[in-house]
Amino acid sequence: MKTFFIALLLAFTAILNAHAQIISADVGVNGLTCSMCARGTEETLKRLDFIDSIDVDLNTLVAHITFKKNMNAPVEDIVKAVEDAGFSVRNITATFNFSNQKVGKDEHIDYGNDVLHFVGVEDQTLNGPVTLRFIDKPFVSKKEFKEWSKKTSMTCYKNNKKDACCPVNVTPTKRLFHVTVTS
Amino acid sequence: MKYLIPIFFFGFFAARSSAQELFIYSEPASNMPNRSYGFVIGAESFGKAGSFFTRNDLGFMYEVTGALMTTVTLHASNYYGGYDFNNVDAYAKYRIFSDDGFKQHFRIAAYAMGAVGEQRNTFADVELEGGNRGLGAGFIFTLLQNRFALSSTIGVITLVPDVKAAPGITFQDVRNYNYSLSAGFLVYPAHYESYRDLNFNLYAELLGKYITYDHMETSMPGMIMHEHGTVLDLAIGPQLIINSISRVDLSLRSRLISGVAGFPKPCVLLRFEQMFYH
Repeated sequence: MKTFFIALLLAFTAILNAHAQIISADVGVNGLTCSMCARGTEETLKRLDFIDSIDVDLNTLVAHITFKKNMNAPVEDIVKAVEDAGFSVRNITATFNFSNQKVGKDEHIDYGNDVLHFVGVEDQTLNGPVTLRFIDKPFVSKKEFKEWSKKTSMTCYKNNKKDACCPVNVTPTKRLFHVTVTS
Repeated sequence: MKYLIPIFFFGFFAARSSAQELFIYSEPASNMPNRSYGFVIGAESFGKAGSFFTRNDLGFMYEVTGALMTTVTLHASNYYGGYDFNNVDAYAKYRIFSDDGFKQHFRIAAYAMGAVGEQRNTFADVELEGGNRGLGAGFIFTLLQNRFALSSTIGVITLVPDVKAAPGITFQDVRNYNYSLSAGFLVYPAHYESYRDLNFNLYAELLGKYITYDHMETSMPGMIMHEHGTVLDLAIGPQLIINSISRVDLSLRSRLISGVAGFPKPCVLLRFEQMFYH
């Protein structure tokens, strides 16, 4: 019984300590070619107070973003800023600093006002910098979307919106994103 | 000249990579970034009956939402005698469809515009940039594919009051069914190093209008003559983008079809535009 309580306490402590902090992100932008449009996108992204620095590669049209420490960076706001600039997000990979974060197939973890739904990952504990790729329908090719759809039975992925399958922590005010671990 | 058009357009389609859609005469279906604004100052020369005139434009642009752009432009010219203020027009454009890809997009926008000012007793042209009062609306379709952009506008302009074209002559229900096909090409740079890289774009625009109006003369009461005519211009010009925030446009325009007598013929346009973000 004593061992059980110790294990329970450790598990509870682990949950309390579980933590994700975004460090940087690469955001591919669609719908533009010229440097004037790229500059407009960069200037719009700069308005977000949680962005520390941004550098847009004018040839690959990828925005390399670093975030301020200890600030929540809603992915939804980044997507919205790109759309406000008149364009759309092609893909997103982001590096998070994890602390004792258990993930597994269809695990949902809270990240500020976002919920990250892990797809196609084995059970593991994430520690230190880990790069996640956002695999929601707008951020992957049609072929990739079909492939990822096979790796989860949850309808929220296929329907690209919160659904009855989502756990209770995906409240109406939260934005759901689907991610997978790349490194 | 008639052979120049297909050669020019073929040249665009034969090109392989990337493009520009900041057309000199027509608006693209795309917008500026949300809450950005800009100023534009321009001069356009045109000729009529052996005389040359100049119209100046001073405009302010503001992007309201990222999909809704508004512009207010003041126009002054020496067309009506001495150099004076002609009219002010307001323009609003709303992007209603977007399909984006890597260095490409297809977009559709709807626009509406109106102009207020004194309706001059000289029939200049059925445009809202100048000495007319009226309303206009239409749609814009824009395709961007790497360095190449192609855009088409269809719309209608109607002059709200009657036009007293000459002593004893009145035009009623004056309408301009306008259409355009604009092509743009990003010539330089082939590879970007920074926002400071000078961009050089080249444009060719076919600008057409079909004018209809009712012609009445006080000397012939009760007699209404329904008039119509086609006007088609070709405008070709370079554009420089400086520091990815300023643009300088130059365009040479010539009339290919002149189906309405008495319209001034635009020939040279020079414009400077400065963007601001906050």
